[in-house]
Amino acid sequence: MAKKLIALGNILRAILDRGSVVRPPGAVVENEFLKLCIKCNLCIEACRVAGSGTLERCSILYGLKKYGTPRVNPLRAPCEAVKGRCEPKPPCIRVCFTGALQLIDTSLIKLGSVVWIKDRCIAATKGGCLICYEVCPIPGAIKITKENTPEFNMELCIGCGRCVNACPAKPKALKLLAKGEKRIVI
Amino acid sequence: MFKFNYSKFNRVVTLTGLDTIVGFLPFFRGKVLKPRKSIRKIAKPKVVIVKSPRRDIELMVRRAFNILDGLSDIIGSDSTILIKPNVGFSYVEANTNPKVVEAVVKVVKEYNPRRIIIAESAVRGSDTSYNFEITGLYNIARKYNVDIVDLKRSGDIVTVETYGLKLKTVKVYRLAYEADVIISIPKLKRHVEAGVTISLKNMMGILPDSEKGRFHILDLHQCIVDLNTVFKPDIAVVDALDVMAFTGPSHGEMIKANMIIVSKDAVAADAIAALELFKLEGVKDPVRELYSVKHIVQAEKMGLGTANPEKINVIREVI
Ligand code: SF4
Ligand code: SF4
Ligand code: SF4
Repeated sequence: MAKKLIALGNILRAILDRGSVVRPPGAVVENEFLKLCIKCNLCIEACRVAGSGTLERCSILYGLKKYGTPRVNPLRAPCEAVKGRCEPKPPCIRVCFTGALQLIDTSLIKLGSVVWIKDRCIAATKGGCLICYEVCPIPGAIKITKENTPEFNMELCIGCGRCVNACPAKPKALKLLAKGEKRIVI
Repeated sequence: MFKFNYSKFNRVVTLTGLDTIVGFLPFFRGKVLKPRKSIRKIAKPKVVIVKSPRRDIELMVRRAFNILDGLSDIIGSDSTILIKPNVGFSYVEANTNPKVVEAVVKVVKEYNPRRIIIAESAVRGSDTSYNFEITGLYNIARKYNVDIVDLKRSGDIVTVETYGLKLKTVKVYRLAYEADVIISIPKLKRHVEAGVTISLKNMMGILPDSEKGRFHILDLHQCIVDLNTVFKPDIAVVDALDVMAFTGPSHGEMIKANMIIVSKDAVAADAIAALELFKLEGVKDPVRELYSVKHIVQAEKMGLGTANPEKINVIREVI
């Protein structure tokens, strides 16, 4: 009986909260964000019109709490908050009136970081490619090793998703995670 | 009667994103068009290097074109001219200096061609319109009353046959296909994979994003050459005012070289510009380094132009 209850609890927790998602720039810490965000989706609309169109609603698979909140999907487009068209005042932040997204200095933006899956990467398996290095706006976030493979620096990477968007490998050799994100503490 | 307009249909399909689905159906895959342009062969190409520490860019461009005996053998009164600068990035130092584009537009306009188009499709994930805006190209286009097109938003894509080895057909934007004359205005930069990026590599800016990815998967060097068998620039104006050395194409050490390198043979222009870049970097044997740039060597092998520096007539000018 106890085992069954624990299993049920686990399932419930899975429905309520599933993993972290990459939030738009200037998002406050997750607990506060979920309280403040009223799922109006104005930021998503602003991003589509004035930004690059990377934002989308979290689907139900991310849990009930997160359903409908904005998330950065680099497969749609990269986020242009740093060295892009949204600098220095991102439209997504400007339209957010609840304070879930707050204006921050461009140099402090860090949405997350990328992970590199070596055995999918063209540069590591066949040689060539290196588009990720070409498109990365942050000097030093990607370095080229002696074997001509990319090397990612999690510290410097700001999680803009340009490399994920550009990676031609199928399936993509790069994944954008919220790991190491910098959020505003209120 | 309803008349089927292929180009309109194609436009709707690509703009709505249906192309990924429709592309699988063989019926809709579209015609494969024959190349329109043939490659101009020049026996002993001239390359002009104009250096001007004062940076009088218009004068530099004019002087270079004068030494090449003007452009009237290439530009006619009924030709459509595609000017292809490198505005692939959202940081200005990685893009072509807009003043060079302005000078070229001004000079070319004096030949009264039918239409001048400045066009670009930026690197994957980058917004071309934004890049046009920050480099100031929109203002230049407005000032001289020429067309400026963000190819990624023009949406009209055609499939063209090439004479290449790896790449049998290539998808490009229709505007590039319909141009009679292509003027490539690259910035002299290092490139992480291609070695250098000059006028031949710059032509990758007429491709849609998906095609750029395919190039990198197949074999970038050969694909660049294969693309240039059909879309080789007729005139190359290499912006070497500030050169990006050692690393590239997005970040590198900027060296002031104050040069413009012009030729009617893009391969020769690339070879000489690459040599200049290697000299600025202080490479010991620049000619050997040049032969390690696969796409330039391969372009000569496939008969697109001359890359052997001994067979090129280099004219140096200081103003
Ligand atoms: S900064 Fe721009 S691109 Fe990034 S999420 Fe906000 S609106 Fe979209
Ligand atoms: S873009 Fe993707 S496949 Fe290409 S080198 Fe980078 S990680 Fe590897
Ligand atoms: S490594 Fe990728 S996600 Fe990180 S800053 Fe560079 S392009 Fe953006």
